[in-house]
Amino acid sequence: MALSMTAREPRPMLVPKPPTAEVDDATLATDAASGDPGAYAAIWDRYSPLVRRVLVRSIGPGSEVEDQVQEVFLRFYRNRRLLRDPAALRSFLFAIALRVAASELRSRRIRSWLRLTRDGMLDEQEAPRTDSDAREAVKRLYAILDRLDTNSRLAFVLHYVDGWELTEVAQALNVSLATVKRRLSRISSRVFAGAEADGLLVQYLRDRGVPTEKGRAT
Amino acid sequence: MTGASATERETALRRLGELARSELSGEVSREEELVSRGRFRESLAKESGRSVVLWLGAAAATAAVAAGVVLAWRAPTAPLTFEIDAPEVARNDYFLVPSTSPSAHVRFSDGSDLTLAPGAQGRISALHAHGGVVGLESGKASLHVVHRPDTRWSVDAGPFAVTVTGTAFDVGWSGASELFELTLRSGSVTVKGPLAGSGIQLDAGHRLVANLKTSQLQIEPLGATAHAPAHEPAEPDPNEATGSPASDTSPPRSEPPASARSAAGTGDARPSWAKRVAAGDFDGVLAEVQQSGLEGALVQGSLADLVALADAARYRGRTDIARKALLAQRERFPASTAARTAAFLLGRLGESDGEGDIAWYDRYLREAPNGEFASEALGRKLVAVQRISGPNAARPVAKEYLRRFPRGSYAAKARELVVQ
Repeated sequence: MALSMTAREPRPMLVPKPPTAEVDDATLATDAASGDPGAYAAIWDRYSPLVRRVLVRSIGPGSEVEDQVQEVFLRFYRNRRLLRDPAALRSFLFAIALRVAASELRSRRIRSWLRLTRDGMLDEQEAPRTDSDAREAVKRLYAILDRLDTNSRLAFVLHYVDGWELTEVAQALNVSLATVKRRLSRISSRVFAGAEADGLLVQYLRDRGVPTEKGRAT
Repeated sequence: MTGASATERETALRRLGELARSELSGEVSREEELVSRGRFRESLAKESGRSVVLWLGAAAATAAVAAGVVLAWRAPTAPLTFEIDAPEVARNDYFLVPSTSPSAHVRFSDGSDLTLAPGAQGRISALHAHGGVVGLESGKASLHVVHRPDTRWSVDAGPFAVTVTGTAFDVGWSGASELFELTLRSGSVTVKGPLAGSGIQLDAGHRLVANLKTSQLQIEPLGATAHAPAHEPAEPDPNEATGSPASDTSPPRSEPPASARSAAGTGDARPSWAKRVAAGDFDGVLAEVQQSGLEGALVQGSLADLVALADAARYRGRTDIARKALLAQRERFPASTAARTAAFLLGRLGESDGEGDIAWYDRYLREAPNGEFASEALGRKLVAVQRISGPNAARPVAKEYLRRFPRGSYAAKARELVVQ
């Protein structure tokens, strides 16, 4: 005998197609391209954490990126038929996320010019070791990155923050390896010089045994 | 510009990158994620609606089919229902299968089914349109989930959480033995819990055993004979919960996120420690660190390396190495999520050594009051306070636990203390 555990009787579910044991990226992308609405939910669940992380690290701390996350997935929906290799779903979404991040960075730069909200000047302070100071250090690092052009900034973030190989950075940004090397070589000096001019970042590096000119002087 | 060498500059930039990586994880709460997901769903429905209008202009018949799909996406779907074939074992959503009874079978309206072994007790904690939550308080159960694109099932077994999309597995939890066991027959699942850190992905054909008493976690292929089991079986195996040979149809393990790769090892062709730990190569990582020098790894390793090293050491019961790796995370990356988690894990290590657990739990709760292990940390603190200082001292902790986690794993114990 069967005991019904709820007041409602079991009802048929909306099932767009027979269940499958597992759905890989290629199947999901193909289903999405053919208009299966459930495929978008599955793609969201699988890739929204990655997309959010890419956006947060590219755009920087203290920024609300939820609008950009939505934008990435809507752009994917609108351009779903442009994905020629369904197995490359992850790379496709990643490329969209980078484009959205780049677009947002350019918009913010224009807004900051118009409103003069960010002058890039930093206070020099010593750094007690607390979590809030680590957050502050990240803010200061990104204040330095704010002075870079968008493509250089993205190259820096992918290589130094996400830890990507140079070849992977080149592929993601759709430029040659030589270009990435040249770009990073140019900006790494600027970022390092910016860090050396900031007391908090110098303290952070010194605590980790990384010598800096200022660290040596003190 | 400066007198720093190119190597010093590179090291400095990598350290700054690590700082940003640990601070900017992009993690959001489950509530925020649900809101975000709902927003995308609404936007998509609007986009789809626009498409339907265009399609209607082009071809009415095609558009009608498309509109049907859109309606299916938009239509509010009722929560799943379930039936159980042994009504005597159930009271509303709570089940308790006597150890002398045969197994009970629960069938859900999405086609998924749950087999409850003799001695199993728990509840169907939640049901929604795309799955549900099974809370296993004790005993063994087998769950077969029918996969659909938005399937969301999970099983809470004691302090462990198993997230499922489409799979079949056997799960067991014994509070008395503090033993968690999961045998995955097909698909893949993610296991989170006290020894599993931020999550271990388990693939088909593997068994995971976590022994909280000895702080050991072991993953082995089904049918493996090379390793001695890390535990004694907590309860007799139920007939229906016996694992079958692994399916070989599951997809390969997905790549770990870029953030998990070792920045220090970017020029090295070998997989990162994080990747090796994810693949179950705990012994290999420990052997490598002992060969190359533990102190060097503690001082120079990236945060991802330290997390992986601590995991490998914990899983293999090397609490001495695990403690050092966790302390190094806290000292070198104090602002990171991993450092906060390390406080909880140090509490667990201290508990197994019989020292210092409460202070570390307090520290974790202070640093991450809404963290992933907050419920577990407060519950374990409750047990520790009762053990060390008696029920009167534990009562305020029990009240706090019930206020914050009324349905948590330690709620029954907390209630017991409060009413005493």
